Amino acid sequence: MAKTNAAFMSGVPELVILRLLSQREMYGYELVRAIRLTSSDALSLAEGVVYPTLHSLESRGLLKAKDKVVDARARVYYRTTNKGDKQLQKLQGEWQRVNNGIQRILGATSAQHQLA
Amino acid sequence: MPSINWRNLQLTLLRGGVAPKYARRTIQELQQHHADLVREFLAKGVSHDEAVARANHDVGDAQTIAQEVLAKRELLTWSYRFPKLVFLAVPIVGYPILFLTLFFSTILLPIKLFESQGDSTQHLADWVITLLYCLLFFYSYLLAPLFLVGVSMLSRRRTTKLLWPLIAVVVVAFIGSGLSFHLIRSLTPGESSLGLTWGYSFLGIPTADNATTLSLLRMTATVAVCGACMYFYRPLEALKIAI
Repeated sequence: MAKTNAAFMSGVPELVILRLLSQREMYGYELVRAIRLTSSDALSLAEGVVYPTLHSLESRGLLKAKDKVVDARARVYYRTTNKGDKQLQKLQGEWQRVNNGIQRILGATSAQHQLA
Repeated sequence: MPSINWRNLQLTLLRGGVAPKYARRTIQELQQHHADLVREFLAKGVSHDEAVARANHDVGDAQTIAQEVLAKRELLTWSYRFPKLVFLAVPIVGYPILFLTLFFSTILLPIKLFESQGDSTQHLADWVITLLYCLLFFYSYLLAPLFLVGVSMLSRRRTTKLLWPLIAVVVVAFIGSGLSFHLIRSLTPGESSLGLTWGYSFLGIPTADNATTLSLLRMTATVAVCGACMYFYRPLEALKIAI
C-alpha cells in the first residue's frame, strides 16, 4: 500500500477521525480499518499514530472515551462530543474552502498549458 | 521489524512528561491493536511468526509513536508544561496558605468557639489541651517537612528537572523551620497562653535563646531529607505494566 504524502496530511487525521466517529462510536483498531475502507486505501495512517491523535482530541474535549468489554476483550470506544461535532463542522468548512481553491488552481494551470 | 518493547515505550513517554493516564492507555490500546492485527493475519492463513512480523510493521516503530505522543503538548502533565509554576510558585505560596488554613480552622476557631460558650483555655478538658498541643507541634515542626517530602516525591514521579523543586524545598524549609510555638496552661484565670512565633535572629527578629540555631538545624534536616528523597526515590524504575 502506498504511503500517503506526509506534507498533505497535516490536519487530515483530526478531520477524518472526527468525521468517522461522529457517525458511530469505534475503538482504535476499528477506526483504522474504517479509514482504510472508507477512503479505499487512499489514506494510510501509521496505525500506532492514531492513538495519540485520539487522546489529543479527547483531552481537548472533542471526543469522549468509554471502556467496554466486547467478546471478553477490553476496548476503549470513542465518540464525538457536542464540541467535537462543532469542530468537525468548522474543519469540514475549512477543508472545502481549501479544496475548492486548489481545484481552481489546478484547473487554471491545465488551461494555461492548453493555451501554450 | 522488531517487536515494540512496551515497557521502554511507556518509560519514554513518562520521562518525556506524558500524563500517566495517557501513557498507560497508549500502551494498552497499542497492545490490543497489535493483538487484533495478529488475529487478523492468522485468520488470513499466515503463520504465527509472519502474523506477528506484519503486526509489528503495521503498528509502527516505538520511536515514531513516542515522537507523535510527545509532540502533543496537551498530553503532557501540567508539571512538565509549567514546572516553575507547579514546583516553585505553588509550594511557596501553597505552604503558608495550607498552614494558616489548618491553624485557623483547627486551633483558633475551636478556641474562639469555646470562649464564646463561656469556657476559656484554662477550663478546657485535658484531652483537648493535649490535642491542641499535638496539633501545634505537628503544624510547627512536621507540616513543612511532610509537605516538602510530598513535593519532592511528586517531582520525581513527574521527572521534571530538579532545580525548581529544590529551590522550593529550601525556601519553604526556611519559612517552615522558623516557626515555634508555646502552649502554657494555668489554673489561674487569664494566665494560660498559646503563642506561635516565626523568626530568625539574623533577620533582626528577636527570638528565644538558641531558637535560630534550632530552626537552622531543622531547615538543614528538612532539606537533607528532601534531597535524599529526590535522589533515592525512583518510581519509574519500579514501573509495572499490566499486559
